[in-house]
Amino acid sequence: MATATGWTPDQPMVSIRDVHKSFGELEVLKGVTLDVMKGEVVCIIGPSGSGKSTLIRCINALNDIQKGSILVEGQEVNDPKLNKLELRKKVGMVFQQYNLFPHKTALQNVMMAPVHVLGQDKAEVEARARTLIRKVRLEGKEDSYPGELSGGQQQRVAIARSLAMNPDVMLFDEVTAALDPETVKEVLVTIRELAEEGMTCILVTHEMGFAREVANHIYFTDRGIIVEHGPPETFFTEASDPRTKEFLSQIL
Amino acid sequence: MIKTWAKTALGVAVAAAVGFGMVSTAEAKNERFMEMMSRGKLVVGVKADYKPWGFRDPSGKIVGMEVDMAQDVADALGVSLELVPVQSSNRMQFLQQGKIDLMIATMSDRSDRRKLVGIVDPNYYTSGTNIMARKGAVKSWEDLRGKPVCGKQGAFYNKITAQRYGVKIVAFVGNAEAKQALRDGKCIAWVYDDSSIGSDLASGDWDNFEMPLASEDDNPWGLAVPLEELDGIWGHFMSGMTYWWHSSGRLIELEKKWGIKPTAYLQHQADKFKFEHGHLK
Amino acid sequence: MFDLISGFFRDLYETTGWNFVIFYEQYEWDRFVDAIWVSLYLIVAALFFSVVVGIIGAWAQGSPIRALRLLMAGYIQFFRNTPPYVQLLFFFFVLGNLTPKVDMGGYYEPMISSFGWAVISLSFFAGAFNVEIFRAGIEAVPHSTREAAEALGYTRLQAYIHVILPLAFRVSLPALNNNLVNLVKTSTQAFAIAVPEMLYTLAQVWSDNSNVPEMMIILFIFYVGLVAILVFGMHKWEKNMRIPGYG
Ligand SMILES: Nc1ncnc2c1ncn2[C@@H]1O[C@H](COP(=O)(O)OP(=O)(O)O)[C@@H](O)[C@H]1O
Ligand SMILES: [Mg+2]
Repeated sequence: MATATGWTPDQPMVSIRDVHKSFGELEVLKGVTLDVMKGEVVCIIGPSGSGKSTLIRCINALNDIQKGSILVEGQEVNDPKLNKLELRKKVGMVFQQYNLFPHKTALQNVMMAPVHVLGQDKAEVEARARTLIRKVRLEGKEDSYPGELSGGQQQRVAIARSLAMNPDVMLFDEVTAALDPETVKEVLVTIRELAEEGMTCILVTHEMGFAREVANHIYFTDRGIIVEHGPPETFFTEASDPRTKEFLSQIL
Repeated sequence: MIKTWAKTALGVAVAAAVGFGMVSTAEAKNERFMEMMSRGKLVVGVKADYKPWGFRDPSGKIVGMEVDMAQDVADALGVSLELVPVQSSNRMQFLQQGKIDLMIATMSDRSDRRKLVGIVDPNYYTSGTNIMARKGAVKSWEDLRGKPVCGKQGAFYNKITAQRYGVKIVAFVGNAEAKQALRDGKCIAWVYDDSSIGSDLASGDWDNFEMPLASEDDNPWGLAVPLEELDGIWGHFMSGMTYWWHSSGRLIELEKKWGIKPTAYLQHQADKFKFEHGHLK
Repeated sequence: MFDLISGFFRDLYETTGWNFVIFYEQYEWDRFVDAIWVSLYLIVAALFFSVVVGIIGAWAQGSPIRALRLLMAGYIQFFRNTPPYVQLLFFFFVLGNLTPKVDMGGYYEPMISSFGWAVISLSFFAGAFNVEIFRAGIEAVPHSTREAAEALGYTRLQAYIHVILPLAFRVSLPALNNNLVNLVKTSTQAFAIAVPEMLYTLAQVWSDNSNVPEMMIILFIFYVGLVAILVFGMHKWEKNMRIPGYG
């Protein structure tokens, strides 16, 4: 299955090469390189302000980059003539603050983009949206407005909304950070199920237990660089860099 | 001719006034007149922007039909003449405040105005409803049926032409806007007072336009003396003067001189007063 | 309707001198009824187009194209800072002469009538305020909501139509309400370019019949009624648009 760009599934689905990103004078990413294979779950951890959000926002072009290359299924993101719609059909994103559309019901939130952006048939989209809402365990909440749902429920709607676009890779940026502890779990369960179904996921998270459980690979960032990375089995026990050790000792 | 008539007229007026006990009982009734005669100068308020009734010639001198009439009055009294330009908005105040002795300034005779100034009978002129249109565009009132005709908001001409000829009145706040709309072709004609239209046509700014129809309705014009003196020598004298203007054909002569479209009213008045004129002579 | 009330009002005039001539003389009644329709058409059309202008203008104001933003700024400055009365005259007398027209022999049938110019002029006038009102509403929509739409593949225009505008609209409604009430009142100025709306017509009626106080009363009742209907409608709309659990 080769795409128009010549990408095949045995190549990295997301390939980040020496990415540099500055906000004005402030250099936030100082040469990041990272590969994600199809079906892989990658967790990015690191102290606050180290550039985790910036990095994953670069993957779907919410941030542009100054130098380097990001290929998503072979499509170059760092290209002034980038077809953003093509990219965003492939990459779904879930935010810390859910960012649901408050004037639409849960079901409508899930249905909107496929109908408006992809021009898909409404009835067909609705059937799919109802399935997705069931999948994130929100049956009965289809007609509730975001303002009537708890944080955890809203975040699950947001996940369903992203999935409705049938993305190939999902980005999660600290999606449980704003939630009450009781509701964190329900969201993590949803993400784990996704991962188990083979969805390619890139997660920024502070939930170390969860990372250890679901991740195939863990990256630790600090001040704009990847300090070290490895599979969870070894990463948590054999971290060598003092910055990693310090971070892990604080958080575990 | 004026002199001979004037002596008689003035004599009659004074005699009448004295005879009816006016001079003795009410000093105020003749105050202005006496003061004017002793100063030897008549001050008349006329228009200076209403061609050809009262306007400035190229040298800046105020001339026109009403100016000639003012001169007639001065000649009849044997005094010199001073002209004061007035506006429609201030002409009655000028008379009330004593800034002018006599007002001949294209004023329509209306009952509310008769309460403020001494409008002299008979009327010296009437204007009527007429239109200004592009040359050749309109031949009869009936040509206007169903067509847009510009008017001034609140003007009495609007309703009557709408009702009589079924025109579609398009009324503007001021004359200037309405006439601009005519010039722009937004309407086929501008309906208003024929004297005003005549004045516009005489101004030279409306070369491609004409007043093609026979005027309708009579809107009488009145010259005025101070209200207190209407029943005094001054009012009676001006009344006699007006009879003479009509009966002698003087107004028709002036109308011709100033290129004003002949009005049926003047001709009618001239015929009506002919006998009395002969009698006075 | 006319036959029903004309007797009463003719009596009223004969017994008390209160001259509501529009209710008992066929000619004046017809003028009055026409004026109601002209006023309503004028107001509804200007309301509608002013909102359209506001929506498009607010979108253009956020455009990445500098020339478009400058054009919008110029438009807003011009229309907010000059009297609507002068704008009407300008549209009708200046722009009106530049638009195509058909020679009807002695006069021209313009492509855009005085009514048309009044709608255009009033829409642009109120539209300039609506742009500002909607812009404030748009600025109240969180940037993150916009980003969520962007991440889902929405273009700027799609996000504007489906996400930002519906939210901004709700925020803007109270201010919009005020501006539209103002527009209803400003619509009377169309009398300057001879649009036979209510003020134009009643002013002619009271000139012809010397019944200024009576016609003034009718004018007040007409506009109080119109504004009341508008405000009622807007509040109802506001209520219908309220989102459960939001704001
Ligand atoms: N839009 C922006 N403009 C300017 N500075 C930014 C912007 N977004 C992030 N930053 C800065 O970039 C750095 C990295 O931010 P971020 O990627 O959000 O870190 P993290 O997600 O790891 O906490 C921070 O210093 C932050 O202040
Ligand atoms: Mg972050």
